[in-house]
This record gives sequence, structure tokens and C-alpha cells, in this order.
Amino acid sequence: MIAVTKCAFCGGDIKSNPDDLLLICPFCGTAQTVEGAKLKEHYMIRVHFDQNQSFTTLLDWVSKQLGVPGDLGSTAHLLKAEQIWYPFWVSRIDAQSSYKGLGRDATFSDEWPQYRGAYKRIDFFWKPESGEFSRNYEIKVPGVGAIDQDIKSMAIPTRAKEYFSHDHAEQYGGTLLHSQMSEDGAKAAAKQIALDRQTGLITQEISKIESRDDKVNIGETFLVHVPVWEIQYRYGNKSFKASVSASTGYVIESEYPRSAAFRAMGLGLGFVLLIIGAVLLAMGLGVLEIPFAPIQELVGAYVGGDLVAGGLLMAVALVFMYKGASRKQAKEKE
Amino acid sequence: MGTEAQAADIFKCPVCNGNVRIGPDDMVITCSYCGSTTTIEGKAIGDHLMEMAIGDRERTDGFRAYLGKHKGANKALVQGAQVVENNLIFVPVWTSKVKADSWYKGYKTVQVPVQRTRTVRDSQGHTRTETYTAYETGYVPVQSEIHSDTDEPLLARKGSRFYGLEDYLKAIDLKDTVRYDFEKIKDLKPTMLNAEIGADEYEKSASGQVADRHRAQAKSGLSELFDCRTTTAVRGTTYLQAPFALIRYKFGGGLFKCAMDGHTGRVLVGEIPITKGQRALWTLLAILGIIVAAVGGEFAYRGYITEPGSVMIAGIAATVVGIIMTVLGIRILMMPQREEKG
Repeated sequence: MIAVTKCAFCGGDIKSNPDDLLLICPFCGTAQTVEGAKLKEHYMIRVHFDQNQSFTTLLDWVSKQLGVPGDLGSTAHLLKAEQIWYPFWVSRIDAQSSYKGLGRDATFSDEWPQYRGAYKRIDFFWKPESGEFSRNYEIKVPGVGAIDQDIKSMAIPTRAKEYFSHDHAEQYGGTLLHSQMSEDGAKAAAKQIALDRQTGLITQEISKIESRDDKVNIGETFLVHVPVWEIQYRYGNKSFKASVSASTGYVIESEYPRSAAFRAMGLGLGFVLLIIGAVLLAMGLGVLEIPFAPIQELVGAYVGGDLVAGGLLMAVALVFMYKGASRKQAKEKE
Repeated sequence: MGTEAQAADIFKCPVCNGNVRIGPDDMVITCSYCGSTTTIEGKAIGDHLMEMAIGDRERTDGFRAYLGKHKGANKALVQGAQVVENNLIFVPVWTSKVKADSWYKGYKTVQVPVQRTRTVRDSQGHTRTETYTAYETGYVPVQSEIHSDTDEPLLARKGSRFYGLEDYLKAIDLKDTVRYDFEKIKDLKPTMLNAEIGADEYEKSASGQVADRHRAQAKSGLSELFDCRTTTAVRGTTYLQAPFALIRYKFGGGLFKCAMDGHTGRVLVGEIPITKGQRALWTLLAILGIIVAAVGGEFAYRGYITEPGSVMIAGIAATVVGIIMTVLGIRILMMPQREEKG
């Protein structure tokens, strides 16, 4: 269901879903709440790789993956490149938690005569403990929920951030995603994450929390739109999808073709190795006898060797077959 | 590569009155005219250092030296690598000495050898007693301390990271720094980034990080950690602008990258292509591994059925070595690239 809201700043129509809480006007680029209040802390990372540069980078990067056809770089062609601006909320949180509760401790008794300092008996008991943890967290929350996990967890590039410029986003016909999280919602989510981490620290120290007092100071929280090229390309008669960071040229993730030769080799070699491995294993276990005497005498004589070689060959065979048959997707490590 | 960054905001330098372009979130600003560095409110920040950077050419040399070191059997790598990106960027870093003292308490378990006796009946039906060694659990109370005094550099940008960041921060040495002077580096046309994280926030992050590290260290040798108390003291917080370069290069149609220390020209961590010839060699290693393991397995088996002893142990050792060779060979055969530290 698509709703239409009037932009509070330019009067243009903003299309949005009911989930969207922070809207970006497609005409003037102003970030605003559904009620029309402007978000000042709205930044972006600039595009440094245009459509063609991103596609070239993608093909170069994909070319090094295992089993990619050698002519990918020259024959693949771009079907579609769409620039999507993904919203992320970033907060810095200062958390100070003091706690009281019961922590474990133990008494030791009955020392081992042959091992000084080691005891036969350990008796746990609870003792009251209190303390304080002071930590500073940086928390990034994606503004949209239903997006790819790899895009959600992508690092925000270490490039100069700047105030959001609608002209720049429009230059490549980019689509700006609204945030399904409001500023307050983002702050609350970040606060909860910080509190959970504090709880993690406290429960390492004590097992039962009787009381705690958290002073959580949510520092400046901003919304940053990060540009990503969602690319679709064709090789042979199949099409493949990829996401490439438009500011760094990093391949967030990409599907890629595998040459028929590679698949055939992986599966074929894997199959042959699997059979050889299984035969060796069976002969080693004594459940199989080859009716051809020379081989039976030669191989059957080495039970230990058969077992080890058979097992290893089968393991290698499975790896080969998996590689030959598996889905092909790769991610660039950041 | 897109259009150049436009002014996001203007900051008036309190020293020379120049108009400095800044990012929206910048906390510490370095004047692009006079180099003086202040907080966004115009307050002094204390020591401001930088590491000198080297030029394009020297960075390329450093990169080629790295390739030369890791080329292995791929003789064409150094000449064949074509650099497609080599940008110098000065990243803002806060660093200080963090002294941390932890006291902790917990326990660990040990195996205590205990001599026992038992009655056995031999093949003639006679009974006799023999002693044997059994192992029982012993509980060892541990109470100890950890003291450290370390440099803790952290990136002063919010929410962001880059390839090789951890290695880069580790490589920072204050001995290599000089007083910040933009004149000395401006000919290199670096990208300068201001800090988005202030000194106070940094100090909290740094002490928290050290305390967490102490706790992890205390916990590592114990079955259970009962208590761990850490006090930290941060001193000598210094603002440092440090040069970093990401180099991307093409080889054999594929794209690879390296993270470089822009001060020394040393590659910290990078990707190295694996050629077909090298893959063949690794496959050979895997096959050899299967043979070694099989021979080892045979000896181990024969040793086991005749008389367990040195033959069996040597056989098991050979099997393990063979399996490791196979796993390594197959693993590298399947990798798109190797990752190598400089």
C-alpha cells in the first residue's frame, strides 16, 4: 500500500509505505518525519564510482573467482544498474552502569598431596558484589529492515561525509530509500543495543543482578545515506546480480557464472575420486573383494593405507563435487 | 570519479581567520591554510602530530617490493601487476598511553596423577596386584594481576572502517611522528580527513577497550573467572594525522588490493593472485599428502596389530602430516587469492 505525503518544504508528492517513518523528498531531498519536521543531521557519502566504473571494477573483481569463464570481462554486458541510497543511523553512546548482585566464588579444600595448590573439593557460594562499567559505544542501525544481510552489515566507507545533497543523489538517477526508523526510534534501538552490551559485561562479573543503575547518554545521532549500485549483468544466456559500493567500488556481493568446463571437471573428478575412495575404504574394511587377483593382492594387503587414503580421497571428492555444483556468490572482505 | 567534494560547511579558523571547508560531523578541524588545529568550538587540542608521507612513485616501489616478496613461483607478478588505484589519504587518529591494572580471581582445573593399585589375573590363573596411574581433577584457585601500559591508537571517524585498519593502527609508532605541518605534505595532494570523535570520547573508548582485553586475557586460562577489577588511566592523548594508501591492482584479468602504510611504503596486508601453475603445485602437494598419509596409515595399522610402539606412533605422525598437506593443498587450490601480511 503506497501512501502519498506532501513534502513540508517543497510541496512535492512523497510516495511511501506505511512502515516508512523518516521520509526523503524525491524532489528537494529534505529528510523529514511523517509530520513534516526536518532532520538536520542528514549526511551522505559521495559517489566516486559511476555506473561504468562500478561495472568494470565488478567484472575485474569477479574474474579472479574460481571457475569464472576467461572471457567474462570481454563478453559480459550490463543489463541494468540502479543506484540505491541506503539509510543508516549512527549513534555514539556513553553508558555508565553500576550494579549490585550476587557473584560466584568458591572455597577449596582437601589439597592433593602430589600436586601442591590443587584441591580435591571445590564448593561454590554466592557473595554480594557491586561495581561499575563505563563504556563508549558506536552503534550503526540500518534504517530499512527488509534488505540484504550483506548490505546491512557493510562498513560505512571512511570518506568525507557531507550534508546530504539532493543534486548529487539525482546526478545518477539514484533511488533514495526512506528510513523505517525515526530518529527517536533509532536512538531507542541504539540505547537498547548499548544496554544489552552493558548487561553482557555485568553478567560476566555477577550471575544474579539485584539492582542496577544505568546512565545512558545518547550522543549525536545522524542519518547517513550510502550509495550502492545494484547491478544486473548478462553472461551467455543467464543473468547475474551484484551489489557494488558506489563510493569505494567494493563488491559487497556478487553472483557469477562458472564455466561449464569447471563444473564438469569438479563434478567428474569428484565422482571418480569418490568411487576410488569408496572402493579403497571398502577393501580396507574387508567388505569388498575385487575379483581381479593382481589388484586384490596389491591393494588388499595394505589395510591401514587403504583406510586412510580412501577416507581422504572421499573427503577431497566431496569438496570437488560441492565446488562444481554449488551456488556461486562471492563477497569482498573489508 | 564523480564530482569533487563541495563545501559541506564553513569553519572560521580562530588563528588565521581563513574559511575552512569541513564535514558536517567534524569535531577537530585542521586549518587548510595555516595548519592550526582546534576543536569545532575553537579550543586548543594539545599535541598535534603527523607522520610524513611518501610520494606516488615510492609507494609504487613499496608495493612492487611486497609483490616481489610474495610472488612465489609466479615470476610475472611484479612486472605484470597494473596499479589502478593509489590514493593517499590522511586519516585522523587519537592515541595515548593507557595504563591498566587488573586484579582477578577464579579457578582452573588440572589433571592430578594418582597411583592406584588393582588386582589382575594372568593367563595361568594367578592373581597379582599391579599399580597404574589414574588422573583425577584438581581445582586450583587462581588470584593474579595483569599490568599493562600500552599505546592505544583508534580511528577518529564515526561508524566507518577500511581494509587493513587493524594492521594499520598497530603499525603506528609515535617515534615516527613530527609536528603537524601541512606545507610538508601538501605537494602529495593527500585527502585530509578531520576527526569526528573528540578526545573525551576517544579516551573512554580506549580505556574500555583495554579493560575488555584484560578481562579476556584473565579469562583465557581459567575454567571460571569470579572477579575481575580493572582500573585504567589515560595520559598523553595526542592527535595524529597518519597517511594510508589503498592500492588496487589488476593481474591476469583479476582485481586485487593492498593496504599500505603511507609513511613507510610498507604493505601491511594485501591480496596476492594464485596462478594456474601455482594451483597445479598445490594440487601436487595434496596428492603427495594422500600418499604420505596412506603410507603412514599402513605403518600405524601394522604397528597397532603387532606391537603398539614407536612404529605405530611414527605412522600416526606421518598420517597427520599427510592429512595436513592435503587439506592445505586443496584449500589453496580452491581460494581465489591468498592474503599475505607485508
